[in-house]
Amino acid sequence: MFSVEDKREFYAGALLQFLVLAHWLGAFYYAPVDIHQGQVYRIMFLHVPCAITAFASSLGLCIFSIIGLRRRSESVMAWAKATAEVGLLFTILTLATGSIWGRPTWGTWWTWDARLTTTFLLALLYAGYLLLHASMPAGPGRIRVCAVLGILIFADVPVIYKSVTWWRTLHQPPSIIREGGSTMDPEILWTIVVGIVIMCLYSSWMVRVRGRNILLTGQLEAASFEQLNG
Amino acid sequence: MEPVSGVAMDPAPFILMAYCAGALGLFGFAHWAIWQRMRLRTQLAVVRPNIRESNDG
Repeated sequence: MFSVEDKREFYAGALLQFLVLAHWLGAFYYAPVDIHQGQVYRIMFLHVPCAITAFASSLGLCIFSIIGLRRRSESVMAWAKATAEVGLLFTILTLATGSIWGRPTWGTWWTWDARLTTTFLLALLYAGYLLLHASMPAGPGRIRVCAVLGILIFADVPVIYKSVTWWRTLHQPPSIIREGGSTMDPEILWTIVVGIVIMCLYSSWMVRVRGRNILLTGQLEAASFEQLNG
Repeated sequence: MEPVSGVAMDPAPFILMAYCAGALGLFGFAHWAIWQRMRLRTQLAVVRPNIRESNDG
């Protein structure tokens, strides 16, 4: 019943989940304590990789949308939908972990500063994309409309990234990629970088699994229809 | 050197909350997707028993 491809995906998923957990252990036992925030800063090792992955997902969505629009392909748009789902998940995680980190450090769960607001907007855009996809019947119309929205969603990402330099925000300015290089402790920096790589790999795996599920759902519907019509 | 922390609250509940949310989101979604794959394969095997490996794209 399960293909060789399915089994490979299951094993890859197990390995990636192990890597995520190993990274979290490193975040607690390898990275040193922060001089200003103490232990609570360790939320950063989850928050930052989730944020980067959410932004990378919008780039993936944009690329799939361009290809889907050019080829007018439902299967490419299935991959775009999977990317949007994973992007939404990571954006929600970014907002949740950021909010949890904000309470003890800023004294508030939420504030309408530029970084948080534009990230919240990204979550709404992903959700809007999925609602639009669900509300339209399959066909060239849905491909066109969803592809255009998928391309436009990516426009929010540079705004999110530059929001901390363009506006006065509660959120800290860039600390990894910045003029003069990062001032972070190397152990902290490497832990974050490894976390970003692992999270991007994990999200790629999630997109692959969901994308194939969406395509299989289409096959199941087509096969059921054939069976009904004899 | 001891951290000069401006954080007055106990960090442990917040760290636990954040990582539990992360685990729920990341692993929950992944396991749901795997479960969905198993269900789809089972349903496809019933509807198309003569088809062995399909082109899943």
